[in-house]
Amino acid sequence: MTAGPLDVAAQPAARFERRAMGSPLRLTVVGVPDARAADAWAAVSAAIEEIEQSLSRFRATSDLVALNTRAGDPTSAIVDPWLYAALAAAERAWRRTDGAFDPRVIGDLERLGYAGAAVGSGEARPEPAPSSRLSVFPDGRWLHRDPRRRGVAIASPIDLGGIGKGLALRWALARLTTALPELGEPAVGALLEAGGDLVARGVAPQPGPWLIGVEDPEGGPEPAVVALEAGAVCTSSISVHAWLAPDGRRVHHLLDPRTGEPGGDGLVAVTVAAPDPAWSEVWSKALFLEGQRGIGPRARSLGLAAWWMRTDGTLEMTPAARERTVWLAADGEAEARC
Amino acid sequence: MPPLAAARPPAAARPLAATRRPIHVVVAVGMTAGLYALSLAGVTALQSATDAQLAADRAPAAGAVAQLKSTHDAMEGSLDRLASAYAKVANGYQAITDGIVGHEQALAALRQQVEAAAGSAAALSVPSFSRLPAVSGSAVTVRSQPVVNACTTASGKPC
Repeated sequence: MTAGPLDVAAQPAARFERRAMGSPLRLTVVGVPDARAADAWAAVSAAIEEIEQSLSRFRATSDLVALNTRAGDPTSAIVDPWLYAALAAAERAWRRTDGAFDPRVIGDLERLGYAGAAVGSGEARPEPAPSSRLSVFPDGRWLHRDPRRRGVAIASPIDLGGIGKGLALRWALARLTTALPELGEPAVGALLEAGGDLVARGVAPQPGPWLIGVEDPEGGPEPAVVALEAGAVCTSSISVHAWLAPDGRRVHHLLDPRTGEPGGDGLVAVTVAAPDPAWSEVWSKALFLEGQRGIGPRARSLGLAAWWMRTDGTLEMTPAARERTVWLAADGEAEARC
Repeated sequence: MPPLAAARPPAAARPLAATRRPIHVVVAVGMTAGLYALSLAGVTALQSATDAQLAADRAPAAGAVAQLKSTHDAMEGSLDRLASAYAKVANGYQAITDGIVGHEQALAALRQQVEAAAGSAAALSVPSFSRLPAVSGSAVTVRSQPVVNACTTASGKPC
């Protein structure tokens, strides 16, 4: 954990960092004494630890791993509130995206050789391979829920992945708001980051909104800077989780559930800004799978603020995203030539 | 030849008892009639009391029957009104059905027009991909790249 002022700060800001959910977890707090900021970080860190212990597929002792070992068993198992809420959210996302988001693609990921990144103290325990793709119960559903008992039954192993990280940010922000009630005051703000997914509340260190750089997955300079006043910005990218499949093909982790193969033809990253980080994550994944031909119409029809980078390095965006974009490298280059 | 008087005894010589009804028979008949009258009076009194009791017992039932008849009359009136309303709705439904048939015909005609338009569109040569012009709707745009607070780095690398 580190703490210190930001270079861009016009007012003091405390910054904390540690690893969680397979990526860096960072918290920037503005406008409160360091001791209060440290208390807030402790609350956030504890919340993330609880959530990861429940939702991680890479912790042998997690509730999700235990549930995956029961995949295919129609009798309900009682799970903790985090996992129950996450499964309910995943089912809603699956319905809302017409199946473009599907947590059952874990079987296809393993078939393609994806092992993920083991994190935490426990050893990852492999789930049994599903007998068929996207298994369902005889009634056609893949998830049975009993809300009164918090009982669930899954038809095949699942990986909460991106939506799990989005939900973790949502719940950690709620814990942060409880620990730091002054977060709603005019001169107080916070930014919580987890592996490129961000959620912000309140003021930034500098005058104006929080400024978020859109990453070039190929390592080039940032092509755009986005303003974020309150809400989330999440990205689905193939810059990290890409590997060679057993048959020698280069594949990535963003699989199209309808084909079981990597999707998003012609795209390398999609970023979505939305009020909630979990839905921002879900839509960034679903839009990525539309590929460079379908993403524009789909994002515009949904009214989303979305930015996407094509394999040739071109950054495109929806009108709603353009309204949030405060700087574009392409505009800067054009103005420099004038 | 003997004289007639000597041959027939005189009438006054017959005994009196042989010519009158016995008194006990009259008394017996009178007593029997009296007893019958008394029995009849007693039975009539008993019957009358029983009838009165029965009438008193049946009075609530009669009231209930009258109430039932009144309710039945009211129900009959309601059924008449409902039948009238049903007939009115059935007429309205028939009118809607007629309207739907008209709309279906209009939709069929529209479908033919759409198919004709789709055929014309398919015959056109259009590019498979077109880039939209840049939208200038940003509320705040700065000339130089600002210092950012964070990046969308999936790898989590600091920006």
